[in-house]
Amino acid sequence: MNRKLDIETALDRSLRKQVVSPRLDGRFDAAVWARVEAAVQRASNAGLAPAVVPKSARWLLVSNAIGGAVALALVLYFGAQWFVGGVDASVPTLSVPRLPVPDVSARMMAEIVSIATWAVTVGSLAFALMFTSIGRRLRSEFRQIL
Amino acid sequence: MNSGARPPIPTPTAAMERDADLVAALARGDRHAVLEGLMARYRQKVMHLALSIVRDPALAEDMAQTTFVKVWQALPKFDGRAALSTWMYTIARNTCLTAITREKRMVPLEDFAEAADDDGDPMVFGTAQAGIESANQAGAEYDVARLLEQLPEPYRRVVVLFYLEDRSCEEVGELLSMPTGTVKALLHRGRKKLAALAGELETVS
Repeated sequence: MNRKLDIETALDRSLRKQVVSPRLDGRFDAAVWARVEAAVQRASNAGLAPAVVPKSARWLLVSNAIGGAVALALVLYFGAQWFVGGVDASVPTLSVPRLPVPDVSARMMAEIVSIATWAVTVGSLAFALMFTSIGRRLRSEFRQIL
Repeated sequence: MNSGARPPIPTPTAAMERDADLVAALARGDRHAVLEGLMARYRQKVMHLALSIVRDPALAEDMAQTTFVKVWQALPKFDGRAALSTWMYTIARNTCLTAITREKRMVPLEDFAEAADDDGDPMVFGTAQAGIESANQAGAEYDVARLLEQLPEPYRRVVVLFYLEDRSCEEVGELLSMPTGTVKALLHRGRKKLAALAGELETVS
C-alpha cells in the first residue's frame, strides 16, 4: 500500500515538473495579425478575381456566339423551307471517281503507323505537361525570354 | 410563426460575464479589439489545449494561431448562445482534430527532442531521452513522456491539461467542454493507470 502511494506521489511530482508549455508572447500576437492580414488580402483578391476575364475565355465566348448564331440561322432557314414543303429530304447518291492510290507495302504501313503512334503519344504528353506546374513554369520562362 | 421567434436568452455563466466587455466590443463592430482581448486572455490556454491534442509544440503553436485567425473570420457569426471563450475553444479543438486527422500527424514523443533542442525552447513534457535528463536534473523519479505515451487518449489529454492548467479541473472542463465530474473521473483513472505503468517499469528495471 505504501509503495503504491509512494509511486503516486512521485508520479505527481514528476508530472508537475515535466509537463510544461512554452510561454507565448507578443511575437505570437504579431504572427496572428500577419496571418489575419494575409487572409483579408486573400479574401479581397478572391472578390476581385471574377472581374478579370482571361482573353481566351472572351474569344471562346465570341466563337460560341458566332457558332450559335449560324446554327440558329440554318435551323430557321431549313425550318421555313420544310414548313412550305420545299426541302428534299432524300439522301443524294454520290459517284466517287476511282483515284490512283500509291501502292504501300504492309511493312511500310506498319512503320508509318508506328511512327505516327509515337508522334501522337509524345505530342499528347507534351500537351498534357504544358498544364502541369512544371509546364506552366516553363511556358512563363519561355514567354519572358521571347 | 416560429420563424420570427427569438432564440432563448442563455443564462449568463461565469465565462460569459468574464467576456462581457469583448461581446460589447463585438456588438460595436470592433473586431480588432475583440481579437486583441481574446489573445491577451486566452492565447496560453488555447496553446495548452492545442498541445494536449497535437503534442508537437511547433504544430500546437501553429494550430493556436490558426484558431485565432478562424475566430477573427467567424466573429461576425458569433450568436452569443455560448461564452466567447467556450466558442473559441470549440474552434480550437476542431482545428486541432482536423489537422491531426488530415495529416495523420501524431508525432512520436522522441521527435520532440530534436525540435526543442534546436531552438532551445522549454521542453514540453519531455522526450523519451530528454525527459530522463530533465527528470534527473529536477530530481523527479519518472520519465513522464514515456509514461504518457502509453496512456490511452481520453486520459492522456485530461492528465496533460490538468498539469498545464495548474491542476484545475474546472479549467480542464471548460477547455474540453466536459463537466467537472467527468474530468475528475478521467483524471483519477488516468493517474491510476499511469501509476500502474510506472510500477511496471520499476519492476522491469
